[in-house]
Amino acid sequence: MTRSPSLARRARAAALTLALVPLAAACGIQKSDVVEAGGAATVTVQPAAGTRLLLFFVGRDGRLLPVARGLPGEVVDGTGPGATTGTATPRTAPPADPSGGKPIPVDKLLSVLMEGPNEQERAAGLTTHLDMDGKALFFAGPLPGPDGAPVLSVRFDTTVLDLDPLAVRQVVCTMAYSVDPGAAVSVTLVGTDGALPATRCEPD
Amino acid sequence: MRLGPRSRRRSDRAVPGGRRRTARIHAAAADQRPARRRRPHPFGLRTRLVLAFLLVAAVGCGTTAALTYRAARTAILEQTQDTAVGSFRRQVASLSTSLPLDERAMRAELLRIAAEGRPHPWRVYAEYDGVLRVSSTDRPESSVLTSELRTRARALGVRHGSFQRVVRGNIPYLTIAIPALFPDGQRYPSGRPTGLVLYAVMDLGVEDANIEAMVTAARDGALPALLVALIPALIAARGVLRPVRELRRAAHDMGRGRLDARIHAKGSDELAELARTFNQSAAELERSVAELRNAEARARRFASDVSHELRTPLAGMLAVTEVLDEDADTLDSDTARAVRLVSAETGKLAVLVEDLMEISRFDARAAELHADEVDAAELVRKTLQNRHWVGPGADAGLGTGTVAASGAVVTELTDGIRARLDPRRFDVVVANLVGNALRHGAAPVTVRVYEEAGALVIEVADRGPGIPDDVLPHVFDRFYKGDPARTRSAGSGLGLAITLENVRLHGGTAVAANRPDGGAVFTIRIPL
Repeated sequence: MTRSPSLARRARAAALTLALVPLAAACGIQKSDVVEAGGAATVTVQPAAGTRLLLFFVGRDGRLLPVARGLPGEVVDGTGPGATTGTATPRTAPPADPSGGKPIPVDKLLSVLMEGPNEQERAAGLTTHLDMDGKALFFAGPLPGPDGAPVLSVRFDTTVLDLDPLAVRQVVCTMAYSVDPGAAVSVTLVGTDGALPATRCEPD
Repeated sequence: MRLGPRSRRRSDRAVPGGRRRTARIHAAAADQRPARRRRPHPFGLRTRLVLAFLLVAAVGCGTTAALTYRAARTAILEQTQDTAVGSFRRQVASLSTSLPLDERAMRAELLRIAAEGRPHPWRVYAEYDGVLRVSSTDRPESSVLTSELRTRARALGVRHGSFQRVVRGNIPYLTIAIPALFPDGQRYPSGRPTGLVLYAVMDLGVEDANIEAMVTAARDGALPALLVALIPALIAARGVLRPVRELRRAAHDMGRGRLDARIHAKGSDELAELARTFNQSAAELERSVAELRNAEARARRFASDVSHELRTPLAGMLAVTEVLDEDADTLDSDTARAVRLVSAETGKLAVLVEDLMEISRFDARAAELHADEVDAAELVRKTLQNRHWVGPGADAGLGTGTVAASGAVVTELTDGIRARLDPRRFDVVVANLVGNALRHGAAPVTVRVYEEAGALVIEVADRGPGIPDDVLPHVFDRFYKGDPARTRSAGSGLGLAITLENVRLHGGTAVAANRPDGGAVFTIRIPL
């Protein structure tokens, strides 16, 4: 016998312990880590599409959150952005709502966005990063862009290159959703100092 | 070859190896007790086998129970989790919410969802923009929801539900997080986060109880299983131990000289192989011993036969030499010396042949003890008188030192010790010892007879130079010459050997030693 008895005994004890560990250690329900399980859920947002303004404001940790407001009375009755006198004059026909609802008043939408969150939205913790004084002069599009995808241009009478990226995204998303519920449109902001590259409203 | 117990022991001592004896010879030594029986070890083979068996059974039972338990627990939990997550996702998908969250409207929705808990009731919480706002309970917050789960549900790019099991105060909970997505058309089928995350907290007490019941069942099942395992363990231990026990018995028998001890070997396992090997070895050993015994018996028979054959012509020669001795005086001196030499040598030859025949009888175990109840001192005295070593006057001083007429032998005889002795053999013993002392030692030779510790003791001491240490162990050997230079001695060389055999026949012992003050002393002890 080459091994000492104590060593053999220790090895035997270790084997026995190993065999009994799963029995002893794992009784009852143990706590677990966070486990991924299936997809998220898509909810219904009130008011329904076509009867709302979808604005984008900034949440607590700097992410873009959608806000659905009912259409203001005069806008609901409006015949479209083209019929509305405003600072912005669309050169083309206003984008039609594919769901068959009423046309979205794009110029109104932008001014509402610039007004910032209302009382209830501020109470929920939403803010806006859009603090420019200028106004949107006109909209163009959506027109096919260089890569064939539709591009919506928004012209401002102020500088746009120094805009906060989140503010740009607020404008981009609000505009994109207003012409397409799938937000498949690229939006470019054009100011007195040049144009921002056309971007899509990508979800976080 | 079957031998009786007594003769067998003797024959054991008669094998050649037995001839190398020490001076201290115990005829009773062969009666030594067999090896002391030790008590079985507390952890004997049987206990160890049974324990090992039980251990294997316990490990087997335990492992099986543990694995079964784990699988069953996983299955139970998975089913509950899948059901809960699935039904909670469906409930969330049925939600209608305003953005940002309208707490009053949402509370109504949550209360509706809370009533739909599957498979168990749950509490539902709504978080908007990283803050828990509303719940189906009276508090919007919950200590069961971990920051881990909430961070994960709100993380950038997360489009999936998640769950976590949490134990709070020994109660296990299942917590589920489902982010609510903004319907995003075809382009982003996974959707855009609305900032709204819904949580459900479900008490897993029922599952816990079910799992606990499985543990209890496993434990209650394992104990009877171990008891059942005890039966095959005992049977297996018996099956292993029976051949071992048999082997021990056979080895023990062989150790005691029963060379015909065999084991009943059946089967073809290792133990049966061992038994067969043992049987073969035993058979081989028995054959070798039998051969040795036969060879020795042949040699002894040859010596015996030779002695017998020599006896008759010697008797004739003795008769002739007696006549020649008588006529020697009438012959011329040279012839007379030759005649006397022949006569003396013939006499010695006759003694030698007689001694050889005597020792042959011992070897052939033909020597018989004709014991009588006699007075030991009386026998010794008679012997000494018959050999003319003491005069009849020695009787006068009973038990005290008496110098014989010749002055060569002094006796200290305690009278009245009655012992069962064969007078003829006892006479040979005393005569040989005294003769030996007179021949090799020096006068005066002291003969003492006394009783000590239940034994008759005959002590013969001389005043000679004593026995050299290297000779001492061999003085009782046959034809052993104390002095190699002296090839011829007055005796036959068998005297002390015959003495020893006679003492043994009486069941006694013979010891040769040197006295501290010089001279050899031979002590015979014969149990009374």
